[in-house]
Amino acid sequence: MELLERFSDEALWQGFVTERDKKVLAVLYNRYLALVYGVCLKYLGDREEAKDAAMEVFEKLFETPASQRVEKFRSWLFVVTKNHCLMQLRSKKGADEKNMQLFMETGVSVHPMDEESADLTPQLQECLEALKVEQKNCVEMFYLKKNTYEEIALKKSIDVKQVKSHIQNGKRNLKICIESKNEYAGKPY
Amino acid sequence: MSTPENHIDPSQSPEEKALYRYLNDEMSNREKYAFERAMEKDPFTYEAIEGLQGAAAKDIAKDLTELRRDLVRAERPSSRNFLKVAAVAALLLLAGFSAWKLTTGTGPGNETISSAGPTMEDPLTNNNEVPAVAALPAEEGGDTLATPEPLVAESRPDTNAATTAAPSPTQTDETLVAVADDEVVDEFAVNTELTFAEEVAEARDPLASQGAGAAEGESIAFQAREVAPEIAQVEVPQLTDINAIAASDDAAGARRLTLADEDVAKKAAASRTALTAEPVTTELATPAGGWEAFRSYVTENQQRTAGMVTGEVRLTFTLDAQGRPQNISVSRALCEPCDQEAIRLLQNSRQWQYNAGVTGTPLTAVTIQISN
Repeated sequence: MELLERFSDEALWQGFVTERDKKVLAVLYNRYLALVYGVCLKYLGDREEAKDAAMEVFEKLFETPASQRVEKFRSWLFVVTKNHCLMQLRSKKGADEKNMQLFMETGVSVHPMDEESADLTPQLQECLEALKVEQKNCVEMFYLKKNTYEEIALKKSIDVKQVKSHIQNGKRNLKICIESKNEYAGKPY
Repeated sequence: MSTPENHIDPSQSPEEKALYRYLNDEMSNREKYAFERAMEKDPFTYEAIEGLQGAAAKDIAKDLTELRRDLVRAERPSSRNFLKVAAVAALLLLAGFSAWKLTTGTGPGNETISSAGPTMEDPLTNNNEVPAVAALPAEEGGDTLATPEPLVAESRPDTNAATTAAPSPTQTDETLVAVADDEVVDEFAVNTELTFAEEVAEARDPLASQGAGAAEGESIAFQAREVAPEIAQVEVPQLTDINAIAASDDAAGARRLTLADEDVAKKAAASRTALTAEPVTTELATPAGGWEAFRSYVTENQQRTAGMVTGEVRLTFTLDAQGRPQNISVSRALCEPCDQEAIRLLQNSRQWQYNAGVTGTPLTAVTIQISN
């Protein structure tokens, strides 16, 4: 373990901000290199472009003003990376007016399904029942029966991508459902 | 998918290792499920996996290796620009030199070389204010390794700093650097006394004005290293040398400390200040044997009792003089038996150690994965 490796992300970031030392930033960035590269690959779809983008993100971090508030480095870096890729796509398509939604570092809200409580609240149960059947099945198999994506895919003979999108969509619909219920009940969520 | 050459280099952080193992499909279903559950909560990993799954494992490995190399290079700002300038300058000089040779033949030039040599060497060598990795004139070895003020807790014997295994690569560097420098100096001396100095100065100006972290001298040294590719390699292990120091008190490790490490140690100290200034939110201590060993200890030794659920328990604690966890309290509960089990696991774990640079016995934290 390197000396610098022993420090937390936030401590290293602070250290970088005060010292402006690329070496410190590089140690920090190195931790997320695979993730940054992966996200760039997802959006840009090209290995060379993804590599360039990953280095550009690094430079961007280096130029970040000290006034920038970074609560949690990990989620902030994700936002910076994703926005960089979206900007890149936007400029490539030359579609400036087509306003792509840029992301902000938000307070990480955990989806109710991802909370660690074992049993579902009645409300969640109700919303789950209201989901489309594939979504409901996939969400249940994943969260309640603890199947991996692959196991679900095999059991339902659909491919993993579909499983993942059913889960994502299911979760989104659940959230909408719960929020509307809370609103209706006048309770702050 | 599991042929060796197809594997992504696993010598990374535990997190990255897990990423690769997931991509390489080397996880048990249980691990895989835990990974996917964590992924659902973490969009960064989720989207990265989406991207990485679209590429072949060995391409990913190749790209990441390349990126890591670029990253090491990027630590030395603007070296590329400088290289360009330096290359052009060298070409011009070479051309000038040949032209001069052709017109004047041999003879009178020799004197100029010897007289101009030393004067021109000065700007190059004196400018190493920031210790470049290998460019130190370390003929004697002992002095250059003079250790900085002990910022880190580890002891650092100052004695017998001379003959070690480590200095040998650096020494070859120096000779190569020196050769490269000499060539530049010679070419210059033969050609025109002033222009090269001007060019060097010009080349440095943009560097300085960019506020780049590295000093100009370092860039020059770096350029010399670029010229000889085998030297450039030496940069990569630079940070690993710190490992030896951080990991062990032994003299051999301490002796490897170069001035460049002092720089790093200072940054570490800076980060430490930032770290201690805040209330505990992060891990300030590391379990003996590292995190991965700790995690496998947890999975292997967890006792399952009725009513346990899968999830994470976050505990805070301090360490006593022997590195045993003390004052354990639950900062994020999961369920009563889960919390109790997490506490038991922590109490029975091997000793812990505060991270380098941590003073006193502050509260540290750990997240323990419980499964039912």
